[in-house]
Amino acid sequence: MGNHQDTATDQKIQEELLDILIKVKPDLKRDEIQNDTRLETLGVDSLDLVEIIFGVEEKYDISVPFNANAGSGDAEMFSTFGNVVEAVRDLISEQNHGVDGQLANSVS
Amino acid sequence: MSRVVVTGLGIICSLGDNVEQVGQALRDGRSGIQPLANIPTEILTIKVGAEVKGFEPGAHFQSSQIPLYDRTTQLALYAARAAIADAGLKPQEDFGNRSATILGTGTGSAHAIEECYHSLYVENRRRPHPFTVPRVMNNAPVSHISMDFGITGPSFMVSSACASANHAICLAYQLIKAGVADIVVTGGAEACITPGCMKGWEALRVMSPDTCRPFSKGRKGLVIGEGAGVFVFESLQHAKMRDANIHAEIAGVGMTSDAGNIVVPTLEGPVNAMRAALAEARVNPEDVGYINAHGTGTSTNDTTETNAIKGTFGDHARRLMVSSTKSMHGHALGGAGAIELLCSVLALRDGFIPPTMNFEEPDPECDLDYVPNEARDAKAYLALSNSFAFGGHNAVVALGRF
Repeated sequence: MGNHQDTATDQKIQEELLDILIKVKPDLKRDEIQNDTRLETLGVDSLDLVEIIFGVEEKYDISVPFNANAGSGDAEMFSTFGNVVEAVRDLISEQNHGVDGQLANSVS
Repeated sequence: MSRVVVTGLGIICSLGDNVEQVGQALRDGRSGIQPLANIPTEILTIKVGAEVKGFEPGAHFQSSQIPLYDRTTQLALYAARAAIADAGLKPQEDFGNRSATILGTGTGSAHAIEECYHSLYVENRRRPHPFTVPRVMNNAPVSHISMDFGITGPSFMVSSACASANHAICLAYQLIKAGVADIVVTGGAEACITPGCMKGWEALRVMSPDTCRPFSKGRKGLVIGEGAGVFVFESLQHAKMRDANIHAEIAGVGMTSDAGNIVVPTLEGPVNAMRAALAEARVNPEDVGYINAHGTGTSTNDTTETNAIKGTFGDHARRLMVSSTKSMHGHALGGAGAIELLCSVLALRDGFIPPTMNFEEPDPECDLDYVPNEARDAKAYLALSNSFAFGGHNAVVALGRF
């Protein structure tokens, strides 16, 4: 698959993740969230994060192996918005809902 | 004001179904955390727990009674019988209006409610069992205890998530102290290792996939347990009058609320609860030798609790012993405080400190003496048993060697 499609997919995931994030934190504005924005600076607490991950799992029908305890090392996976986008993209392709499947079809 | 003593002990949890077995497990550092065996685990991601294994209701209850008893009630009744027998009190004749029963439970009768919904929504049955309501109601454990033993004073359940049992114990203490009752059967019970409840806990992302490592670096969260701890509390006068064997004294209790976040604890709430318990017990922080910590094994609880102990005890925090027995019996939620009070009673009475098992590596943020991995022979005269719950409910029991 080509880079062009990767970029398109990333952009789509990015937009959809913004939707999920803003649903959990309705006061956030889309333009204040960049790839290098740390979620904690957006006021996302541990409970918000769990809700965001739930939203992601429901949206893409994937399972996100996330443990909120620092000792698990998982928290770093979701530290910036860009990390979230990458992690979700990887999980989608790992769990066979790849870009050639439902997600690619919905990119239009 | 009456002094309050503990004259009866009853326990059933993953470590055993009697006080001696549980005591031995605490000395040996034996863990009850194992792969789940009592429920189907196909839909579960987290497949470990601290279950009560091999409990056959038919061995303990009449077949006509069993349909009325959810597992929570069964475990509570089993532990209550043991506690009352240990206290040497005779059912019916030794109780009456001056006796009470108060227990804590967090979830309530999870098995019964899940069975009801499963039959209706999955099996498409037209009707649930006719005893669904009496079996599901959260007050069922104390209701059956009152009937079985003839307790005709106050009886009710307390619910404050993981602090439920400690709140029940606090109220039991206050009823006797205030002269309202001579005998209170108290403690807590929880039996919510069901597929539905486990999925709910999984979704919160705080569960460890393998074991519970309180205060250790690399801890991965809590492990759900189940069980019941039940005690007979009496006024000292009443206990002496009948020449009862006294295991320990309840020296004071402290209850506070964080009024903060639903899942993230504050520092002030736990500190003030510990201070209140010490104040009521009229002791100095330096008198405390042991703390049975809430110690769930989540990153947040264990760091906050460590800081709260430092905030309460100052320099003495580094001298006292702190352990989390949840590393062995798991987190029995609304029953946790009762199982842990039993651990504390045995510690003071028998002169040993139960260990924090699965302690792998010190965490710079948790730098107290957690009695890692091995029980310690040590005499403590005063202990605190901490419970800090989701919802910001804090309840601390100060226990004295008698």
